[in-house]
Amino acid sequence: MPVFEQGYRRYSGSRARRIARWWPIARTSFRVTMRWPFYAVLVLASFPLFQKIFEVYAAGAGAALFPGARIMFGFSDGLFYDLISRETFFTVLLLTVTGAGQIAEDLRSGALQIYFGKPIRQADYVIGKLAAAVFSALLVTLAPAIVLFAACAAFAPDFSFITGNPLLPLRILGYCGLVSLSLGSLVLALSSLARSGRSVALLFAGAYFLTMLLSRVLDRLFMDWRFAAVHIGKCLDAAGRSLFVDGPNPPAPTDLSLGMIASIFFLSVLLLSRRVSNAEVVS
Amino acid sequence: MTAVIRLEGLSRSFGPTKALDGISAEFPGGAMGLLGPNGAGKTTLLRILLGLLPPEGGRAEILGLDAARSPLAVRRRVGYMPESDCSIPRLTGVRLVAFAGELAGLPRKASLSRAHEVLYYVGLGEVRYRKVDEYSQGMRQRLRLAQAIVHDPEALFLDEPTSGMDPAGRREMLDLIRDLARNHGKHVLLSSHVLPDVEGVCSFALLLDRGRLAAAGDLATLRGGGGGRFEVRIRGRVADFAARLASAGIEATAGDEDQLQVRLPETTIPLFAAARDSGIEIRELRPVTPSLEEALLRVLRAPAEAR
Repeated sequence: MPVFEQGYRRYSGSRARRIARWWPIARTSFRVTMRWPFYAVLVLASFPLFQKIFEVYAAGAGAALFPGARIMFGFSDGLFYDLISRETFFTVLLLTVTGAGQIAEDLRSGALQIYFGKPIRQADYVIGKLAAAVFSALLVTLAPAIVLFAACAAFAPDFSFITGNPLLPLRILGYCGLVSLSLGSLVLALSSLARSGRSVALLFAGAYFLTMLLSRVLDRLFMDWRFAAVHIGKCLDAAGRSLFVDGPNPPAPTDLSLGMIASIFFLSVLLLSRRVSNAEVVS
Repeated sequence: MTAVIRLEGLSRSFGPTKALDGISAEFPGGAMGLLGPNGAGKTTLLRILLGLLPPEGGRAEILGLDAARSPLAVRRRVGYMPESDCSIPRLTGVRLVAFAGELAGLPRKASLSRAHEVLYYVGLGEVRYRKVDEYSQGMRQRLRLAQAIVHDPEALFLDEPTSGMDPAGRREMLDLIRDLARNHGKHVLLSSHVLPDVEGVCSFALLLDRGRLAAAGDLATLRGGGGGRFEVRIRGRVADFAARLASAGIEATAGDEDQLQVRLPETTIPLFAAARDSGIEIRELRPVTPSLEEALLRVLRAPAEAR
Protein backbone atom coordinates (compact mmCIF):
# COMPACT_ATOMS: atom_id res chain seq x y z
CA MET A 1 0.00 0.00 0.00
CA PRO A 2 1.46 3.39 -0.86
CA VAL A 3 2.37 5.74 1.96
CA PHE A 4 0.07 8.50 0.81
CA GLU A 5 -3.29 8.24 2.46
CA GLN A 6 -4.78 10.59 -0.08
CA GLY A 7 -3.80 11.15 -3.69
CA TYR A 8 -2.19 14.34 -4.86
CA ARG A 9 -4.63 16.91 -6.12
CA ARG A 10 -3.86 19.76 -8.45
CA TYR A 11 -4.58 23.25 -7.16
CA SER A 12 -7.10 25.02 -9.33
CA GLY A 13 -7.82 28.09 -7.20
CA SER A 14 -6.55 31.61 -7.63
CA ARG A 15 -3.00 32.72 -7.06
CA ALA A 16 -2.76 36.15 -5.53
CA ARG A 17 -0.16 38.55 -6.89
CA ARG A 18 0.44 40.10 -3.52
CA ILE A 19 1.94 43.57 -3.40
CA ALA A 20 2.52 43.32 0.37
CA ARG A 21 4.44 40.05 0.31
CA TRP A 22 5.67 40.86 3.80
CA TRP A 23 2.19 40.64 5.29
CA PRO A 24 2.04 36.84 5.86
CA ILE A 25 5.53 37.04 7.39
CA ALA A 26 4.45 39.79 9.78
CA ARG A 27 1.27 37.95 10.75
CA THR A 28 2.98 34.62 11.36
CA SER A 29 5.93 36.18 13.19
CA PHE A 30 3.56 38.03 15.49
CA ARG A 31 1.52 34.87 16.08
CA VAL A 32 4.54 32.87 17.28
CA THR A 33 5.48 35.57 19.79
CA MET A 34 2.18 35.27 21.63
CA ARG A 35 3.32 33.18 24.58
CA TRP A 36 2.95 33.78 28.31
CA PRO A 37 5.81 36.32 28.65
CA PHE A 38 4.07 38.43 26.02
CA TYR A 39 0.85 38.52 28.02
CA ALA A 40 2.75 39.06 31.30
CA VAL A 41 4.42 42.20 29.91
CA LEU A 42 1.08 43.44 28.58
CA VAL A 43 -0.41 43.14 32.07
CA LEU A 44 2.56 44.94 33.64
CA ALA A 45 2.43 47.65 30.98
CA SER A 46 -1.19 48.39 31.81
CA PHE A 47 -0.39 49.71 35.34
CA PRO A 48 0.86 53.16 34.23
CA LEU A 49 -2.27 53.42 32.10
CA PHE A 50 -4.56 52.68 35.05
CA GLN A 51 -2.73 55.30 37.07
CA LYS A 52 -3.20 57.91 34.35
CA ILE A 53 -6.86 57.01 33.94
CA PHE A 54 -7.34 57.53 37.66
CA GLU A 55 -5.66 60.94 37.42
CA VAL A 56 -7.88 61.93 34.53
CA TYR A 57 -10.98 60.71 36.37
CA ALA A 58 -9.98 62.60 39.48
CA ALA A 59 -9.40 65.80 37.53
CA GLY A 60 -12.62 65.49 35.57
CA ALA A 61 -15.67 63.52 36.60
CA GLY A 62 -14.28 62.79 40.07
CA ALA A 63 -13.48 66.45 40.84
CA ALA A 64 -16.81 66.76 42.63
CA LEU A 65 -15.72 64.04 45.07
CA PHE A 66 -12.08 65.19 45.33
CA PRO A 67 -12.13 68.98 44.98
CA GLY A 68 -8.35 69.33 45.13
CA ALA A 69 -7.80 66.82 42.34
CA ARG A 70 -8.35 69.33 39.55
CA ILE A 71 -5.37 71.31 40.85
CA MET A 72 -3.13 68.23 41.24
CA PHE A 73 -3.95 66.65 37.89
CA GLY A 74 -5.00 68.10 34.60
CA PHE A 75 -5.90 67.44 31.01
CA SER A 76 -2.74 68.22 29.11
CA ASP A 77 -0.74 66.62 26.33
CA GLY A 78 2.11 66.30 28.86
CA LEU A 79 -0.02 63.55 30.32
CA PHE A 80 0.50 61.54 27.13
CA TYR A 81 4.20 62.27 26.99
CA ASP A 82 4.50 61.00 30.55
CA LEU A 83 2.52 57.82 29.78
CA ILE A 84 4.40 56.94 26.58
CA SER A 85 7.84 57.68 28.03
CA ARG A 86 7.03 55.36 30.94
CA GLU A 87 5.77 52.73 28.54
CA THR A 88 9.14 52.85 26.72
CA PHE A 89 10.54 50.68 29.50
CA PHE A 90 7.80 48.10 28.88
CA THR A 91 8.48 48.29 25.14
CA VAL A 92 12.07 47.29 25.85
CA LEU A 93 10.82 44.50 28.11
CA LEU A 94 8.31 43.26 25.51
CA LEU A 95 10.83 43.32 22.68
CA THR A 96 13.34 41.51 24.87
CA VAL A 97 10.98 38.58 25.34
CA THR A 98 9.34 38.56 21.92
CA GLY A 99 11.59 40.28 19.39
CA ALA A 100 14.97 38.90 20.35
CA GLY A 101 14.38 35.49 18.78
CA GLN A 102 12.64 36.71 15.63
CA ILE A 103 15.60 36.32 13.27
CA ALA A 104 17.97 34.39 15.55
CA GLU A 105 15.58 31.44 15.69
CA ASP A 106 15.04 31.55 11.94
CA LEU A 107 18.80 31.37 11.46
CA ARG A 108 19.12 28.48 13.91
CA SER A 109 16.25 26.46 12.48
CA GLY A 110 17.16 27.09 8.83
CA ALA A 111 13.82 28.79 8.23
CA LEU A 112 15.38 31.20 5.74
CA GLN A 113 15.46 28.30 3.30
CA ILE A 114 11.68 28.13 3.51
CA TYR A 115 11.28 31.89 3.07
CA PHE A 116 13.72 32.33 0.19
CA GLY A 117 12.68 29.15 -1.59
CA LYS A 118 9.42 31.04 -2.16
CA PRO A 119 8.84 34.23 -4.16
CA ILE A 120 10.03 36.43 -1.31
CA ARG A 121 12.70 39.12 -1.44
CA GLN A 122 15.10 40.02 1.31
CA ALA A 123 13.25 43.32 1.82
CA ASP A 124 9.90 41.50 2.23
CA TYR A 125 11.42 39.34 4.96
CA VAL A 126 12.95 42.28 6.85
CA ILE A 127 9.82 44.42 6.54
CA GLY A 128 7.65 41.51 7.71
CA LYS A 129 9.79 40.90 10.77
CA LEU A 130 10.01 44.62 11.53
CA ALA A 131 6.25 45.00 11.20
CA ALA A 132 5.72 42.20 13.74
CA ALA A 133 8.14 43.81 16.21
CA VAL A 134 6.68 47.29 15.71
CA PHE A 135 3.14 46.00 16.14
CA SER A 136 4.13 44.32 19.43
CA ALA A 137 5.71 47.56 20.60
CA LEU A 138 2.65 49.59 19.59
CA LEU A 139 0.54 47.39 21.85
CA VAL A 140 2.33 48.86 24.87
CA THR A 141 2.71 52.41 23.54
CA LEU A 142 -0.04 53.38 21.12
CA ALA A 143 -2.80 51.17 22.54
CA PRO A 144 -2.57 52.63 26.11
CA ALA A 145 -2.32 56.13 24.63
CA ILE A 146 -5.54 55.56 22.66
CA VAL A 147 -7.29 54.29 25.79
CA LEU A 148 -6.07 57.33 27.73
CA PHE A 149 -7.24 59.64 24.96
CA ALA A 150 -10.69 58.03 25.11
CA ALA A 151 -10.68 58.36 28.92
CA CYS A 152 -9.74 62.04 28.68
CA ALA A 153 -12.53 62.65 26.20
CA ALA A 154 -14.99 60.79 28.44
CA PHE A 155 -14.05 62.34 31.80
CA ALA A 156 -13.38 65.90 30.67
CA PRO A 157 -16.04 68.37 31.82
CA ASP A 158 -16.49 69.74 28.29
CA PHE A 159 -15.20 69.33 24.72
CA SER A 160 -12.27 71.68 25.25
CA PHE A 161 -9.91 68.71 25.53
CA ILE A 162 -10.65 67.61 21.97
CA THR A 163 -11.08 71.02 20.42
CA GLY A 164 -8.08 72.45 22.25
CA ASN A 165 -5.65 69.69 21.17
CA PRO A 166 -6.22 69.11 17.45
CA LEU A 167 -2.69 67.87 16.82
CA LEU A 168 -2.52 65.60 19.86
CA PRO A 169 -3.41 62.35 17.98
CA LEU A 170 -0.61 63.06 15.49
CA ARG A 171 1.88 63.73 18.29
CA ILE A 172 0.89 60.52 20.02
CA LEU A 173 1.26 58.60 16.76
CA GLY A 174 4.64 60.19 16.04
CA TYR A 175 6.10 59.48 19.46
CA CYS A 176 4.77 55.90 19.61
CA GLY A 177 6.00 55.28 16.07
CA LEU A 178 9.45 56.62 16.91
CA VAL A 179 9.76 54.46 20.04
CA SER A 180 8.44 51.32 18.34
CA LEU A 181 10.39 51.67 15.09
CA SER A 182 13.75 52.51 16.66
CA LEU A 183 13.62 49.85 19.38
CA GLY A 184 12.06 47.30 17.00
CA SER A 185 14.77 47.75 14.36
CA LEU A 186 17.49 47.63 17.02
CA VAL A 187 16.29 44.35 18.51
CA LEU A 188 15.95 42.78 15.05
CA ALA A 189 19.44 43.89 14.04
CA LEU A 190 20.83 42.30 17.20
CA SER A 191 18.70 39.23 16.54
CA SER A 192 20.36 38.78 13.15
CA LEU A 193 23.78 38.58 14.83
CA ALA A 194 23.14 35.39 16.79
CA ARG A 195 21.40 32.05 16.57
CA SER A 196 20.06 32.07 20.10
CA GLY A 197 17.11 34.22 21.15
CA ARG A 198 18.27 34.18 24.76
CA SER A 199 21.68 35.60 23.90
CA VAL A 200 20.03 38.36 21.91
CA ALA A 201 17.60 39.09 24.76
CA LEU A 202 20.53 39.45 27.16
CA LEU A 203 22.43 41.61 24.68
CA PHE A 204 19.48 43.91 24.01
CA ALA A 205 18.41 44.33 27.63
CA GLY A 206 22.06 44.58 28.72
CA ALA A 207 22.84 47.27 26.13
CA TYR A 208 19.75 49.25 27.14
CA PHE A 209 20.39 49.23 30.86
CA LEU A 210 24.18 49.57 30.66
CA THR A 211 23.96 52.62 28.39
CA MET A 212 21.41 54.08 30.82
CA LEU A 213 23.91 53.62 33.64
CA LEU A 214 26.74 54.95 31.51
CA SER A 215 24.83 58.07 30.53
CA ARG A 216 24.18 58.87 34.20
CA VAL A 217 27.78 58.29 35.22
CA LEU A 218 29.15 60.42 32.36
CA ASP A 219 26.59 63.14 33.03
CA ARG A 220 27.63 63.32 36.68
CA LEU A 221 31.33 63.13 35.92
CA PHE A 222 31.52 65.75 33.20
CA MET A 223 28.40 67.74 34.05
CA ASP A 224 27.55 67.71 30.36
CA TRP A 225 24.00 66.73 29.37
CA ARG A 226 25.09 65.71 25.87
CA PHE A 227 26.37 62.45 27.36
CA ALA A 228 22.78 61.50 28.10
CA ALA A 229 22.42 60.80 24.36
CA VAL A 230 24.45 57.59 24.65
CA HIS A 231 21.26 56.01 26.00
CA ILE A 232 18.50 55.40 23.46
CA GLY A 233 15.86 55.74 26.17
CA LYS A 234 16.99 59.31 26.92
CA CYS A 235 17.10 60.09 23.21
CA LEU A 236 13.54 58.89 22.82
CA ASP A 237 12.50 60.93 25.87
CA ALA A 238 14.07 64.01 24.36
CA ALA A 239 12.40 63.38 21.00
CA GLY A 240 9.07 62.93 22.78
CA ARG A 241 9.57 66.14 24.68
CA SER A 242 10.04 68.00 21.42
CA LEU A 243 6.71 66.67 20.20
CA PHE A 244 4.73 67.47 23.35
CA VAL A 245 5.04 71.18 23.99
CA ASP A 246 4.26 71.27 27.68
CA GLY A 247 6.32 68.27 28.77
CA PRO A 248 9.24 68.57 31.19
CA ASN A 249 12.72 69.73 30.20
CA PRO A 250 14.36 67.32 27.77
CA PRO A 251 16.86 64.90 29.32
CA ALA A 252 19.25 65.26 26.33
CA PRO A 253 19.76 67.76 23.48
CA THR A 254 16.92 67.24 21.01
CA ASP A 255 18.99 67.52 17.81
CA LEU A 256 21.60 65.12 19.07
CA SER A 257 18.91 62.71 20.25
CA LEU A 258 17.11 62.72 16.90
CA GLY A 259 20.45 62.16 15.16
CA MET A 260 21.22 59.22 17.44
CA ILE A 261 17.79 57.67 16.82
CA ALA A 262 18.14 58.07 13.04
CA SER A 263 21.67 56.60 13.16
CA ILE A 264 20.51 53.60 15.19
CA PHE A 265 17.66 52.99 12.78
CA PHE A 266 19.78 53.20 9.63
CA LEU A 267 22.60 51.13 11.09
CA SER A 268 20.08 48.50 12.14
CA VAL A 269 18.57 48.35 8.66
CA LEU A 270 22.05 48.15 7.12
CA LEU A 271 23.03 45.33 9.44
CA LEU A 272 19.79 43.49 8.70
CA SER A 273 20.29 43.74 4.95
CA ARG A 274 23.81 42.33 5.26
CA ARG A 275 23.07 39.58 7.75
CA VAL A 276 19.92 38.30 6.11
CA SER A 277 21.42 38.24 2.63
CA ASN A 278 24.56 36.50 3.88
CA ALA A 279 22.57 33.71 5.48
CA GLU A 280 22.89 30.31 3.84
CA VAL A 281 19.80 29.64 1.81
CA VAL A 282 20.88 26.47 0.08
CA SER A 283 23.16 24.43 2.28
CA MET B 1 9.71 20.11 -27.47
CA THR B 2 10.67 23.05 -25.20
CA ALA B 3 13.33 22.29 -22.62
CA VAL B 4 12.25 22.68 -19.00
CA ILE B 5 15.75 23.70 -17.94
CA ARG B 6 18.20 25.22 -20.40
CA LEU B 7 21.72 26.14 -19.32
CA GLU B 8 23.86 28.17 -21.70
CA GLY B 9 27.53 28.63 -20.83
CA LEU B 10 26.70 29.04 -17.14
CA SER B 11 29.65 30.23 -15.06
CA ARG B 12 30.11 31.30 -11.49
CA SER B 13 33.22 31.72 -9.37
CA PHE B 14 33.80 32.24 -5.68
CA GLY B 15 37.14 33.99 -5.46
CA PRO B 16 39.68 31.87 -7.31
CA THR B 17 37.41 28.81 -7.26
CA LYS B 18 35.31 28.16 -10.34
CA ALA B 19 32.11 26.67 -8.97
CA LEU B 20 30.57 26.42 -12.44
CA ASP B 21 32.63 26.61 -15.59
CA GLY B 22 30.67 27.18 -18.78
CA ILE B 23 27.94 24.60 -18.29
CA SER B 24 25.57 24.08 -21.19
CA ALA B 25 22.83 21.47 -21.05
CA GLU B 26 19.14 20.95 -21.66
CA PHE B 27 16.67 19.05 -19.54
CA PRO B 28 13.65 17.95 -21.57
CA GLY B 29 11.32 17.35 -18.61
CA GLY B 30 10.22 14.49 -16.37
CA ALA B 31 12.65 13.50 -13.64
CA MET B 32 16.30 14.43 -13.82
CA GLY B 33 19.10 13.54 -11.41
CA LEU B 34 21.75 16.08 -10.54
CA LEU B 35 24.84 14.13 -9.63
CA GLY B 36 28.40 14.83 -8.71
CA PRO B 37 30.92 14.55 -5.91
CA ASN B 38 31.17 17.16 -3.14
CA GLY B 39 32.30 20.49 -4.54
CA ALA B 40 31.12 19.61 -8.03
CA GLY B 41 28.88 22.70 -8.22
CA LYS B 42 25.46 21.16 -7.60
CA THR B 43 24.55 23.62 -4.85
CA THR B 44 25.68 26.60 -6.90
CA LEU B 45 23.64 25.35 -9.85
CA LEU B 46 20.56 25.00 -7.63
CA ARG B 47 21.09 28.51 -6.25
CA ILE B 48 21.33 29.94 -9.74
CA LEU B 49 18.28 28.01 -10.93
CA LEU B 50 16.25 29.38 -8.02
CA GLY B 51 17.41 32.90 -8.80
CA LEU B 52 19.16 33.25 -5.45
CA LEU B 53 22.56 33.74 -7.00
CA PRO B 54 23.24 35.59 -10.25
CA PRO B 55 25.50 33.81 -12.73
CA GLU B 56 28.67 35.60 -13.82
CA GLY B 57 28.40 34.29 -17.34
CA GLY B 58 25.79 32.56 -19.46
CA ARG B 59 22.18 32.12 -18.54
CA ALA B 60 19.84 29.65 -16.90
CA GLU B 61 16.29 29.29 -18.15
CA ILE B 62 13.59 27.40 -16.25
CA LEU B 63 10.12 26.87 -17.69
CA GLY B 64 10.93 29.55 -20.24
CA LEU B 65 11.91 32.12 -17.58
CA ASP B 66 15.35 33.62 -17.13
CA ALA B 67 16.31 32.73 -13.54
CA ALA B 68 18.45 35.85 -13.06
CA ARG B 69 15.90 38.30 -14.49
CA SER B 70 12.69 36.83 -13.06
CA PRO B 71 13.67 35.09 -9.82
CA LEU B 72 10.30 35.63 -8.14
CA ALA B 73 8.38 34.30 -11.13
CA VAL B 74 10.65 31.24 -11.16
CA ARG B 75 10.11 30.55 -7.46
CA ARG B 76 6.36 30.98 -7.92
CA ARG B 77 6.41 28.06 -10.37
CA VAL B 78 9.06 25.93 -8.71
CA GLY B 79 8.93 24.09 -5.38
CA TYR B 80 12.18 23.77 -3.47
CA MET B 81 12.91 21.12 -0.86
CA PRO B 82 16.12 22.01 0.99
CA GLU B 83 18.57 19.36 2.12
CA SER B 84 19.39 20.63 5.58
CA ASP B 85 16.91 20.79 8.39
CA CYS B 86 14.55 23.74 8.18
CA SER B 87 11.40 24.62 10.04
CA ILE B 88 9.76 27.53 11.77
CA PRO B 89 9.80 26.88 15.50
CA ARG B 90 6.56 26.80 17.48
CA LEU B 91 4.35 26.37 14.42
CA THR B 92 2.28 23.24 13.92
CA GLY B 93 2.86 21.21 10.77
CA VAL B 94 -0.32 22.43 9.13
CA ARG B 95 0.39 26.08 10.01
CA LEU B 96 3.89 25.84 8.61
CA VAL B 97 2.76 24.34 5.31
CA ALA B 98 -0.12 26.84 5.05
CA PHE B 99 2.35 29.65 5.69
CA ALA B 100 4.61 28.31 2.93
CA GLY B 101 1.58 28.32 0.62
CA GLU B 102 0.84 31.94 1.49
CA LEU B 103 4.45 32.90 0.85
CA ALA B 104 4.12 31.26 -2.55
CA GLY B 105 1.11 33.46 -3.32
CA LEU B 106 -1.87 31.29 -2.42
CA PRO B 107 -4.79 33.05 -0.68
CA ARG B 108 -4.91 32.43 3.07
CA LYS B 109 -7.93 30.11 3.21
CA ALA B 110 -6.95 28.18 0.11
CA SER B 111 -3.46 27.73 1.45
CA LEU B 112 -4.73 26.27 4.74
CA SER B 113 -7.01 23.84 2.94
CA ARG B 114 -4.20 22.89 0.58
CA ALA B 115 -1.87 22.35 3.57
CA HIS B 116 -4.26 19.72 4.95
CA GLU B 117 -4.35 17.98 1.57
CA VAL B 118 -0.62 17.82 1.00
CA LEU B 119 0.09 16.74 4.57
CA TYR B 120 -2.22 13.79 4.06
CA TYR B 121 -0.52 13.11 0.76
CA VAL B 122 2.96 12.95 2.30
CA GLY B 123 1.69 10.80 5.18
CA LEU B 124 1.62 13.42 7.94
CA GLY B 125 -2.14 13.76 8.13
CA GLU B 126 -2.39 12.34 11.63
CA VAL B 127 0.32 14.53 13.10
CA ARG B 128 -0.46 17.78 11.32
CA TYR B 129 -1.54 19.56 14.50
CA ARG B 130 1.67 18.71 16.33
CA LYS B 131 4.37 21.36 16.67
CA VAL B 132 7.14 20.83 14.13
CA ASP B 133 9.71 20.92 16.95
CA GLU B 134 8.33 17.52 18.02
CA TYR B 135 8.65 15.90 14.59
CA SER B 136 11.14 13.10 13.99
CA GLN B 137 13.81 13.35 11.29
CA GLY B 138 11.72 11.37 8.81
CA MET B 139 8.64 13.49 9.52
CA ARG B 140 10.63 16.67 9.02
CA GLN B 141 11.82 15.38 5.67
CA ARG B 142 8.22 14.77 4.60
CA LEU B 143 7.26 18.18 5.92
CA ARG B 144 9.93 19.72 3.69
CA LEU B 145 8.40 17.97 0.71
CA ALA B 146 4.92 19.16 1.74
CA GLN B 147 5.99 22.81 1.93
CA ALA B 148 7.61 22.45 -1.49
CA ILE B 149 4.47 21.14 -3.19
CA VAL B 150 1.82 23.11 -1.33
CA HIS B 151 1.48 25.69 -4.12
CA ASP B 152 1.28 22.96 -6.79
CA PRO B 153 4.46 23.97 -8.62
CA GLU B 154 5.23 22.84 -12.15
CA ALA B 155 8.79 21.86 -11.23
CA LEU B 156 10.36 20.54 -8.05
CA PHE B 157 13.96 20.96 -6.95
CA LEU B 158 14.73 18.31 -4.35
CA ASP B 159 18.04 18.46 -2.54
CA GLU B 160 18.95 15.08 -1.00
CA PRO B 161 15.31 14.24 -0.24
CA THR B 162 16.08 10.92 1.47
CA SER B 163 19.01 11.97 3.63
CA GLY B 164 18.67 10.82 7.22
CA MET B 165 15.69 8.57 6.53
CA ASP B 166 15.39 4.92 7.50
CA PRO B 167 15.04 2.36 4.66
CA ALA B 168 11.24 2.20 4.87
CA GLY B 169 10.91 5.98 4.99
CA ARG B 170 13.34 6.32 2.13
CA ARG B 171 11.31 3.93 -0.03
CA GLU B 172 8.12 5.82 0.79
CA MET B 173 9.71 9.17 -0.03
CA LEU B 174 10.90 7.83 -3.38
CA ASP B 175 7.40 6.48 -4.04
CA LEU B 176 6.03 9.98 -3.48
CA ILE B 177 8.57 11.60 -5.76
CA ARG B 178 8.00 8.99 -8.44
CA ASP B 179 4.24 9.53 -8.16
CA LEU B 180 4.63 13.28 -8.51
CA ALA B 181 6.86 12.93 -11.54
CA ARG B 182 5.04 10.15 -13.37
CA ASN B 183 1.39 10.62 -12.46
CA HIS B 184 1.10 14.33 -11.81
CA GLY B 185 3.30 15.82 -14.47
CA LYS B 186 5.84 17.46 -12.18
CA HIS B 187 9.30 18.10 -13.56
CA VAL B 188 11.65 16.89 -10.84
CA LEU B 189 15.29 17.87 -10.43
CA LEU B 190 16.71 15.48 -7.86
CA SER B 191 20.10 16.33 -6.42
CA SER B 192 21.41 13.30 -4.59
CA HIS B 193 24.52 11.35 -3.64
CA VAL B 194 22.50 8.17 -3.39
CA LEU B 195 22.68 6.77 -6.90
CA PRO B 196 20.01 4.07 -6.42
CA ASP B 197 17.59 6.90 -5.53
CA VAL B 198 18.34 8.59 -8.82
CA GLU B 199 18.13 5.31 -10.71
CA GLY B 200 14.78 4.55 -9.12
CA VAL B 201 13.17 7.87 -9.96
CA CYS B 202 14.94 9.59 -12.84
CA SER B 203 15.21 8.88 -16.50
CA PHE B 204 17.76 11.58 -17.18
CA ALA B 205 20.89 12.68 -15.32
CA LEU B 206 23.37 15.48 -15.32
CA LEU B 207 26.79 14.78 -13.85
CA LEU B 208 28.95 17.63 -12.64
CA ASP B 209 32.60 17.40 -11.76
CA ARG B 210 34.65 20.32 -10.46
CA GLY B 211 32.25 22.83 -11.98
CA ARG B 212 32.22 21.22 -15.38
CA LEU B 213 29.63 19.10 -17.09
CA ALA B 214 31.04 15.58 -17.03
CA ALA B 215 28.09 13.82 -18.64
CA ALA B 216 24.42 14.38 -19.40
CA GLY B 217 21.80 12.19 -20.97
CA ASP B 218 19.25 9.51 -20.28
CA LEU B 219 20.30 6.89 -17.77
CA ALA B 220 20.43 4.01 -20.28
CA THR B 221 22.91 5.95 -22.41
CA LEU B 222 24.96 6.99 -19.40
CA ARG B 223 25.20 3.43 -18.15
CA GLY B 224 26.34 2.22 -21.57
CA GLY B 225 26.02 -1.37 -22.74
CA GLY B 226 27.43 -4.36 -20.90
CA GLY B 227 29.91 -4.99 -23.75
CA GLY B 228 28.52 -8.51 -24.36
CA ARG B 229 29.00 -9.61 -20.75
CA PHE B 230 26.64 -12.28 -19.46
CA GLU B 231 26.11 -13.97 -16.15
CA VAL B 232 25.60 -17.73 -16.52
CA ARG B 233 24.34 -20.23 -13.95
CA ILE B 234 24.97 -23.86 -14.74
CA ARG B 235 24.45 -27.36 -13.37
CA GLY B 236 27.89 -28.98 -13.36
CA ARG B 237 31.47 -28.11 -12.43
CA VAL B 238 32.03 -24.39 -12.92
CA ALA B 239 35.86 -24.61 -13.08
CA ASP B 240 35.82 -27.29 -15.77
CA PHE B 241 33.29 -25.37 -17.84
CA ALA B 242 35.30 -22.16 -17.52
CA ALA B 243 38.37 -24.02 -18.79
CA ARG B 244 36.35 -25.48 -21.66
CA LEU B 245 35.12 -22.00 -22.63
CA ALA B 246 38.65 -20.60 -22.45
CA SER B 247 39.90 -23.31 -24.79
CA ALA B 248 37.07 -22.32 -27.19
CA GLY B 249 38.34 -18.72 -27.09
CA ILE B 250 35.56 -17.37 -24.87
CA GLU B 251 36.57 -15.06 -22.02
CA ALA B 252 35.11 -16.60 -18.84
CA THR B 253 35.52 -15.96 -15.12
CA ALA B 254 34.32 -18.52 -12.59
CA GLY B 255 32.23 -17.04 -9.82
CA ASP B 256 30.88 -18.64 -6.69
CA GLU B 257 29.20 -22.07 -6.69
CA ASP B 258 27.26 -22.44 -9.95
CA GLN B 259 27.87 -19.05 -11.50
CA LEU B 260 30.34 -17.62 -14.00
CA GLN B 261 30.67 -14.50 -16.11
CA VAL B 262 31.34 -14.77 -19.81
CA ARG B 263 32.01 -12.29 -22.56
CA LEU B 264 30.17 -12.93 -25.81
CA PRO B 265 30.53 -9.85 -27.98
CA GLU B 266 28.60 -11.13 -30.98
CA THR B 267 26.43 -14.19 -30.33
CA THR B 268 25.63 -16.68 -27.59
CA ILE B 269 25.90 -19.71 -29.91
CA PRO B 270 29.51 -20.63 -28.89
CA LEU B 271 28.39 -20.77 -25.25
CA PHE B 272 25.58 -23.21 -25.94
CA ALA B 273 27.86 -25.27 -28.20
CA ALA B 274 30.47 -25.54 -25.44
CA ALA B 275 27.78 -26.51 -22.92
CA ARG B 276 26.46 -29.22 -25.22
CA ASP B 277 29.94 -30.60 -25.81
CA SER B 278 30.74 -30.64 -22.04
CA GLY B 279 27.39 -32.05 -21.01
CA ILE B 280 26.66 -28.92 -18.93
CA GLU B 281 23.12 -27.71 -18.37
CA ILE B 282 22.67 -23.93 -18.57
CA ARG B 283 20.09 -22.90 -15.98
CA GLU B 284 20.19 -19.12 -16.41
CA LEU B 285 21.69 -16.65 -18.83
CA ARG B 286 21.29 -12.93 -18.39
CA PRO B 287 23.13 -9.87 -19.70
CA VAL B 288 25.17 -7.89 -17.22
CA THR B 289 24.16 -4.20 -17.10
CA PRO B 290 26.65 -1.90 -15.45
CA SER B 291 25.22 0.07 -12.51
CA LEU B 292 24.95 3.83 -12.71
CA GLU B 293 27.66 3.99 -10.06
CA GLU B 294 30.10 2.03 -12.23
CA ALA B 295 29.25 4.15 -15.24
CA LEU B 296 29.68 7.42 -13.37
CA LEU B 297 32.93 6.34 -11.80
CA ARG B 298 34.15 5.48 -15.27
CA VAL B 299 33.23 8.98 -16.48
CA LEU B 300 34.78 10.71 -13.45
CA ARG B 301 38.03 8.74 -13.73
CA ALA B 302 38.41 9.47 -17.42
CA PRO B 303 40.58 12.52 -18.25
CA ALA B 304 38.49 15.65 -18.84
CA GLU B 305 39.48 15.90 -22.52
CA ALA B 306 38.36 12.32 -23.18
CA ARG B 307 34.79 12.95 -22.01
